[in-house]
Amino acid sequence: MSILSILSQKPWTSDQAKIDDKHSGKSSSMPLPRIGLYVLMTVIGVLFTLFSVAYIGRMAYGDWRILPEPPLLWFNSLIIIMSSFAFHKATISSKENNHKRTREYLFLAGALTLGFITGQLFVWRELVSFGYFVSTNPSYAFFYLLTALHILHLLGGLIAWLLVIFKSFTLEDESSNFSLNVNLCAIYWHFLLVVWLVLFAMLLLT
Amino acid sequence: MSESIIPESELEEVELYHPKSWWTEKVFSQDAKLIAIQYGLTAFAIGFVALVLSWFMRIQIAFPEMAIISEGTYYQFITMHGMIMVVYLLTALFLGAFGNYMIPLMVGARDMVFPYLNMISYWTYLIAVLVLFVSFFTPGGPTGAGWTLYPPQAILGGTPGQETGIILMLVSLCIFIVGFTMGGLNYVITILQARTRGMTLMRMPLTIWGIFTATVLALFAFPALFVSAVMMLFDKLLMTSFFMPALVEFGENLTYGGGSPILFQHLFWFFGHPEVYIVALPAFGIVSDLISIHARKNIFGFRMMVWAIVGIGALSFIVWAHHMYVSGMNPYFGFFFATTTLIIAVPTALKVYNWILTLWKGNIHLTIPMLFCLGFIVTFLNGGLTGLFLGNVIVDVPLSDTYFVVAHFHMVMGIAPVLVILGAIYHWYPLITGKMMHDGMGRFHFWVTFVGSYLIYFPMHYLGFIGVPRRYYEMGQTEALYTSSAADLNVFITIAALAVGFAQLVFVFNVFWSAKNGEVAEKNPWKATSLEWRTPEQPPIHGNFGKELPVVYRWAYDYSVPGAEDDFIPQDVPNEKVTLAEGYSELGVEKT
Amino acid sequence: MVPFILLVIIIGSVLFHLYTPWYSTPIASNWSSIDSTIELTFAMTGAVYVLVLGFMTYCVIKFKSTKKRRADYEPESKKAEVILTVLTTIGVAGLLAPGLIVWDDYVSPPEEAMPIEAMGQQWYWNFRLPGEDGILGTTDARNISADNPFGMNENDPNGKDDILIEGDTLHLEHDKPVKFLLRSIDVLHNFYVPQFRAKMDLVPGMVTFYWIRPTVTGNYEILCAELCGVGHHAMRGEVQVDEASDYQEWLSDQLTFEAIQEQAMLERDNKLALNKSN
Repeated sequence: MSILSILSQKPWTSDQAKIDDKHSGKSSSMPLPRIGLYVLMTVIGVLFTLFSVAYIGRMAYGDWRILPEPPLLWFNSLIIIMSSFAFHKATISSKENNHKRTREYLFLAGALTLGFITGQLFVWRELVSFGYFVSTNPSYAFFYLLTALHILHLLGGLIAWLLVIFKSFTLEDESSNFSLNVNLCAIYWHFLLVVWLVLFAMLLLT
Repeated sequence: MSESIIPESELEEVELYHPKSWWTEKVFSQDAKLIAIQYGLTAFAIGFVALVLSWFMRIQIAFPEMAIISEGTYYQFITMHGMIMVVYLLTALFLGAFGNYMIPLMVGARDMVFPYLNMISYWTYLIAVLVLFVSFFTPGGPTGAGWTLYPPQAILGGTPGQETGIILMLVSLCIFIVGFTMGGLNYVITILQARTRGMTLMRMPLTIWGIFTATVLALFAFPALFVSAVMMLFDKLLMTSFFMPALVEFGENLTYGGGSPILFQHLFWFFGHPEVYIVALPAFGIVSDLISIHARKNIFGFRMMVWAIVGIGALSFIVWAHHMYVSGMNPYFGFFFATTTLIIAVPTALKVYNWILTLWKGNIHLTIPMLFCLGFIVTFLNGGLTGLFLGNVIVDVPLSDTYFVVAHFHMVMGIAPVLVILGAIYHWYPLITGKMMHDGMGRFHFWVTFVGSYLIYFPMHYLGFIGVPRRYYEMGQTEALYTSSAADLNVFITIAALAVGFAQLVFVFNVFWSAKNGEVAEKNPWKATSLEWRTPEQPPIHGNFGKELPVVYRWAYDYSVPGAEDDFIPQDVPNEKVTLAEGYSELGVEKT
Repeated sequence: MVPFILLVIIIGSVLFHLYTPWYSTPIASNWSSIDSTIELTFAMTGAVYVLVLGFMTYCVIKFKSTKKRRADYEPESKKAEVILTVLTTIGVAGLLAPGLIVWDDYVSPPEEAMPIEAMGQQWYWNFRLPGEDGILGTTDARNISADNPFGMNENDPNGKDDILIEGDTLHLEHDKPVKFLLRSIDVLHNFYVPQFRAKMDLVPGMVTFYWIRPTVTGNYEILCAELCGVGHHAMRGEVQVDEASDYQEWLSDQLTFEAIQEQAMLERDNKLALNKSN
């Protein structure tokens, strides 16, 4: 039901009451953790959007310098794409109840994520060795800030990932929840992949 | 969303967390009601600190020759007073305390959907409060940058607390935001997904509508504060130049360059203006319910009230720069923001009309909660109308940064919401404790608080007309402006402020005294319709409702329905079970 | 008692407004139009305040609970809501339109307005007049040093004849429009003279502006109206509005940037010479 039609209901009329009495009390049939994740991703999305707005706002001032993009960033992007893909495969396997396969893909995805994070740290080191410090120019500061924030969100995701791995070892029955958990992790990783690609594009273009 | 809603005969039972020890039952509890009380007590405790700070400020303003506090301390106190009241008290009370207590009960749920997260949310909030509080005892003390924390001043040498106070403030805000986000997820999803059968969105009481919309606003607005806080921390600790232009600190050229203080202000107020409504919308919702209950009449124009809450919430994101008319931003923004700001006055005015039209032809019980509602209408109307001065860009020019602004925002988002909070406490106290609050002390508290606050803030507007700037440690010699009569007025305001402060002590005493000695409350003492009063036990126990969740058959405002014997029909009573009044064959249908 | 106190508040507020000894200072600039918009806003909001609260008080008297009475049941009234919405919208538009017209005036300085720079620093005021060429020279906060407190660009010929007033009274010529260019070298400040009604923040890193035409001669106090650190309340300055002849006399006593530089050079040479002779 659209928001507008909900808002135009007259809940005190007996006609509306007949409809309302049958209402289940839920606004969506999605499982709770999934909605939780969607709301969380919305908030994180707002956060990165506002940082991007600040980035663009700050760019307008004269002292802005173009950031050199170390080629390593391209390699890192490839890694995080692969990690997202591994999560995708893990979701499919978990839906087929192939736990062993799922776990293998989960390990792969986690390893790739750690690889991405390490790669990003190498990029930092490279920039520092060229003398591009945080305080040198706001464009560098933004680069460090945004990549650090992105890494923090990945680390948060890795906690969930650990829990899912742990769960995969203690699975007793064919719990459908496990497949949901893997799926939610995958969604979150896809989301952070999109965030990274947008950030990367923004950093490249400016 | 393409997924269709499957009607279910009964919601699946949520598995409740069962505490295993005293610690997990009483301290690290996952029961939303206990978390609410923890939030409430913490917020009141830190709020009391802010109240005491304001007494020192008022004494300094009224008797500058006494110099009870130094300049630096004065600026530290105004900063901490403002930030605590706005964020750590009001936001935490409305969403953390009232939200946690009322949401599950009023929508007919056993608890929040993510109780564990809910518990973490409170403890994170407590850490944020402690970090803020610790700044009082660090070298240099808390920050004195004003609650708006404008750079460059906030992190430069001329401002007290620039050593560690400002860092702790920014860190504390970031922690608060993380904690709030956890709670906010809970409030939103519980309202969307954990309502009981028959509880459509439009059957929810306005309290829940207010809290829901405010939480959504907060989830969108707080990230802006987070962004500005993190960027300022970078500027302070890593010497970046996000907000810092090339400047001179007491004759010494600093390495900063090129940054924009205005950028910070945009980010800050993109949070700051919705924040006003994060406080106001729950107050709107609660006051609507209290008026309706104590006037025994359905809220007038319910749909308009919902639309206004949603509309104000949406509009609140495109008015932020009205705080910046004289900030040096592009002056042509003034046209846009003045227009949007005055547009927001229309739904707000409609809410005021509807509250009063609810009283019209009502059956008004002048209970303490109702008195607080009347007080709210007076102060909110007053503050809303002075908002028309400040929102209209050119009128803001002479009044901006004067005491007119101080009086305006204290009236509209200080006193008005606080009156609602107090009224709501008197209203729900019997539910929470099972006892009634002492009536005599309550009435004394109301009259001193309401009349006293009015006497503080109404005349204060006129100091602003003279042109007395806010945030002045002392006015000193200013023949044209600060005459001896203006000084006398300040003495008067200070006396009123201390009286109001004293009344709050009576209130605190009443809260604790009545919990022990109060009259035992009868079940549903105000004869309200909403579900929080329909629990088998009063106060409700963990899990709220008995074996079965209530089923909702009507909206929350069936007061004085023609044909019903009683002047209220609870939401979970079906038409067949309503006792009909004499001469009626059906609700609303007279026997022929 | 409740309606009585409400009535006292309503009537008391109106009487307070009518008889208050605390109100705007006598205006000394061209911005009487700002005062008029304030008066208009007062009239309209005051009327709404009295009407709405009066009606509320009436309801409290008339519909006070008794055993016999029972409230009406009326979920909504489209008619009432439409009428109230339209009336409110008209009222709000009536406030906004004149406000925006005056604002347009406020942000459009006349071309003949003389540019004067007001420069704030913790915690006093400096001023710069454009000199004979009528153009202010460029500045940069990075140029600031003990010898060059204004951060003047020494290579800019427009700056040579600029008149510098450090921490002293600013004089304005009566009835001549001025455009204040506002600049800060450290934190935010706000250049506010209550009698002029105008104000604007000074923001480091940029130049903001507003314009006025002083209409009454006399001495006025400049207040800083944006928190700028512990000395905020003490950051005062003075502005003196003179008749043309007095103004010219004052102007002729002031030193230009070039003159100040030469003086400094001379002093340095003297010192050097003194050192040598020793």
